[in-house]
Amino acid sequence: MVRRKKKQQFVAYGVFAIFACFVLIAGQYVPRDNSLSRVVSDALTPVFQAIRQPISFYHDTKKELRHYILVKKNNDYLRAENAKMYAWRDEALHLRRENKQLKELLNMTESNSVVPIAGRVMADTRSPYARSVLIDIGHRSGVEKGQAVLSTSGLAGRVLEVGRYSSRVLLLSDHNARIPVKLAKSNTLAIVRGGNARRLELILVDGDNEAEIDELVVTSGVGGVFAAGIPVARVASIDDVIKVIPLTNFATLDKVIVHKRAATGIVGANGSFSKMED
Amino acid sequence: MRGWHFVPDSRLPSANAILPTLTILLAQLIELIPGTYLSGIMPWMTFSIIFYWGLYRSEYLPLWLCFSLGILADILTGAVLGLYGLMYVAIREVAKGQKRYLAMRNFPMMWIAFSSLIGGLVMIQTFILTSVGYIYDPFVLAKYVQTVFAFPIVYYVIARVHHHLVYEGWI
Repeated sequence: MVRRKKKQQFVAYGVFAIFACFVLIAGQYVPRDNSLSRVVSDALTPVFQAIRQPISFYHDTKKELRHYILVKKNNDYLRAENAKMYAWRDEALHLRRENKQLKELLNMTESNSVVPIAGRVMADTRSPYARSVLIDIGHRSGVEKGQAVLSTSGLAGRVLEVGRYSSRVLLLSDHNARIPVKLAKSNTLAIVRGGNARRLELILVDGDNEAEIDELVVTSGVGGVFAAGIPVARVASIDDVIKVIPLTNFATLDKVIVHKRAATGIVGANGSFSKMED
Repeated sequence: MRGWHFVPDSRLPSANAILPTLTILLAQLIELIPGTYLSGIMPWMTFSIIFYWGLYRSEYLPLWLCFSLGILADILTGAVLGLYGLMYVAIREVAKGQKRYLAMRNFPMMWIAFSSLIGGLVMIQTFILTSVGYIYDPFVLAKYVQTVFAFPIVYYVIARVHHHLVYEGWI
């Protein structure tokens, strides 16, 4: 009797193991951007916001207190920086005037302007096999699929799915993320590929050009998905593969800006560009 | 030690019945709140909670509910659909199956059992996912270590909540 029960239990565990393998393999073909996910995210938005309130209050108070304590030091620093900024402002105004005159001479039209939409991360849904976060702005605020999401330091990712009140952002570090970039100094076109790790891989489109350590990597604007020139990462190591460290710290990502500029295409892993249907 | 082991009581079945679901849902939400934890990694608190309920109140955490809560976690985290569902079910089933053996042992034994179970499951999960094209990530190991170290705290809190809410009649 006991042996029979044990045998039955063994068979049950075997069936469960096969079922588990099937579900995991089948599950990866379910698209991440599905309506069920959007409905659940939207429904839980007020809950996440309510839970976030005391935590945000704690972090904000801590920051405020630190500012009060360091007020003298910060004041001196800001005065010195302000003096430098005046010089930069004069130069920027001069360059803007000059730029405008030159564009008028060449009859150039302005490219699509970018409208920023501010939001906050309400749920950190990073897991070992997917790197994404939920933000508290959605369709109602003008967010659309494919738009660039920036932190205060640089590019953080792109909008993967949009609900009415919330959106899911695919972070640069996700293994599905591919961003068309260029090296700031040499203008060499490249693709930044996420690998569910802190460091990202940089694949140079033109293999002859070499990157430099600490060189800035910015968006190239190829494909029209992102505006050109958004800072993305810095070159960290050059071996068989070039590794870059994103400028955004995903662990402390809080306030984000969504660039309101509709996506027109996606860039494939090999750098190919295809138009988006939806 | 008082509080580690909850003495079963059936005076308030309704409170008993919803407590596992409520605690798992709350843990799922806490796990997702940004900026509240060490170096960007949050332990799988839900695993510890399911292990606890699987040991002491598996009748209030039926398989379908356990799987549904896992699917909810998959949807929220944007992970492969079924990943957490199966993990939750496996933890619940193993805990329930080893109930007689573990309930008689001391806490360190239970801790070792939990660590071995989660370690095994994470290894199987990693093996399956990497074999279908996902990339192995040291994040898994860090998360596992944190889960193991957080287990006594989570276990103690849940045991105390269970004890106070039901046995001492807070509700």
